[in-house]
Amino acid sequence: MNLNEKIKILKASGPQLKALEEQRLALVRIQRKKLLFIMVPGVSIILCIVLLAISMIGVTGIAASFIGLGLLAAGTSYYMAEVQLPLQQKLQQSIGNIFVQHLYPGWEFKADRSLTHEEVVSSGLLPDGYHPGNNLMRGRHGETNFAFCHFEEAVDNEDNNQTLFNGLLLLFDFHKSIKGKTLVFPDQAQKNMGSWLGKKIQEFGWKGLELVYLEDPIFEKEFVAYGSDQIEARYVLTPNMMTNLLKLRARFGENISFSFTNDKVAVAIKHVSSAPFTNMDAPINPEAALWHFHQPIALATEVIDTLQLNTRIWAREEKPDQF
Amino acid sequence: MITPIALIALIILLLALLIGASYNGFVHRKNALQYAYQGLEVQLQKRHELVPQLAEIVQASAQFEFKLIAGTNKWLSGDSPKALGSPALQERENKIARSILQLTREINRDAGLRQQKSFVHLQQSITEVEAQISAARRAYNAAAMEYNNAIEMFPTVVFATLSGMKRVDTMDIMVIEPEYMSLE
Repeated sequence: MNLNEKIKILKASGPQLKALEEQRLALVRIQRKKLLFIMVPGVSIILCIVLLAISMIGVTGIAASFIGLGLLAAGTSYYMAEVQLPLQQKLQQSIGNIFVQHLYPGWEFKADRSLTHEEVVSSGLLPDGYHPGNNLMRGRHGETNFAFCHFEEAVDNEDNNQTLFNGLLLLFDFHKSIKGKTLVFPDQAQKNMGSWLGKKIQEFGWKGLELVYLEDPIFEKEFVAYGSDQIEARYVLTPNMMTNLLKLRARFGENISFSFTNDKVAVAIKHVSSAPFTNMDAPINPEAALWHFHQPIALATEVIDTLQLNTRIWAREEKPDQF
Repeated sequence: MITPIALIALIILLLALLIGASYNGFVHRKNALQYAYQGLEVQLQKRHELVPQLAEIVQASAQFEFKLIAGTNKWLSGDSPKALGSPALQERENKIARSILQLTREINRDAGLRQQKSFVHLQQSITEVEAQISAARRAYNAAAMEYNNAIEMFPTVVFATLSGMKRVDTMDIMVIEPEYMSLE
């Protein structure tokens, strides 16, 4: 998006964003009143109990009073979070609607929605037992339909929280017809364990898929490919496609993985967000909101262009619009 | 305490396991090569099926060189690729590919033929089949490399020698790249 377009969009969406900011302020005021409405009687009741407890059981009453205060604080913050989350998503939705209307008419943005379970599972790029994502966007760039949403996956270990995946999962309509599955991951095994041992381990396959050994040495160094069919994997991973994947590897580093299945290509990119607006308490900054909203879209179109997905020269059975 | 007999039995068992695993690996590579060859055959057959359709469009134009069509038909009516060895197959397929290219070039010169819907569809089909042939050829060459490695490396070289297996050549079949199909 160039500067002129940006100015044009900001000008067009300005009055709507201003009205939204007024609504946000009104909502924040209501929330603060609600908070006071809970806190004042809550604190009064706790104080009465504390005084009563001290007069009846002495010092032990002070400890009990701290527990009471803690419970009150926890309950209030839980209530606020529960109330704030839908409001925040509603606000994100409203901002998204404004930008979609001016920038991409016909596209779909749903702040509280995720890619479908089938779409995520068939991609094979997210950890098992993932949680639904948010900030779903469905659109079209050139001839290519696409959809993406944000996921944050963490697992609780005994010692610490380990983030498994925090980023975007993007789905694109692939320009070739494919029946099997081909996965492309950054090559960790050969890097960490050496070429020979790493390859031997990779030869065991990945979730029922076979290792696909490709002839491009640079690609082989950076990625490992698994496929359900050796021929189809090479049909997908042409020398040109391998070069394009390497370009994305250079751009996003080890944070990027690919999956080709069911006539779609899925791209998982870690450490990028898709939230157009995240804080209910902060004022709406139109420029920042537009930047946050447009960033993942720019990323999706960049992937489409880099992978040359708009090249439609192969005979491909047209399926009903799945996005 | 391990007795000498138990130790010998253990060594024999380990050797048997090693031989078994090596033999299985060798068989796996041999079958992978056959599978890849069959995949390539299927795609080449698809290429052959497209040629008459291309010729049909060409025949609609009286100005066209019928010699070219006759030449292509001659190559198509020869033995099927299954009956041919690798070098013969490559030669025959390269001639067919060149004929397709020539036919396409001639059609592209004629504005009337070029804009025919059936030709545009056929161009896409040829591009698709050529992409599949390219993938099948690469899969075959990868399988051939694995097979040749198995034939020359220990311990699978033993099985290869015993069963009279020989190195196989990689395929260098010509594939028509999309840009030559003049697809926009």
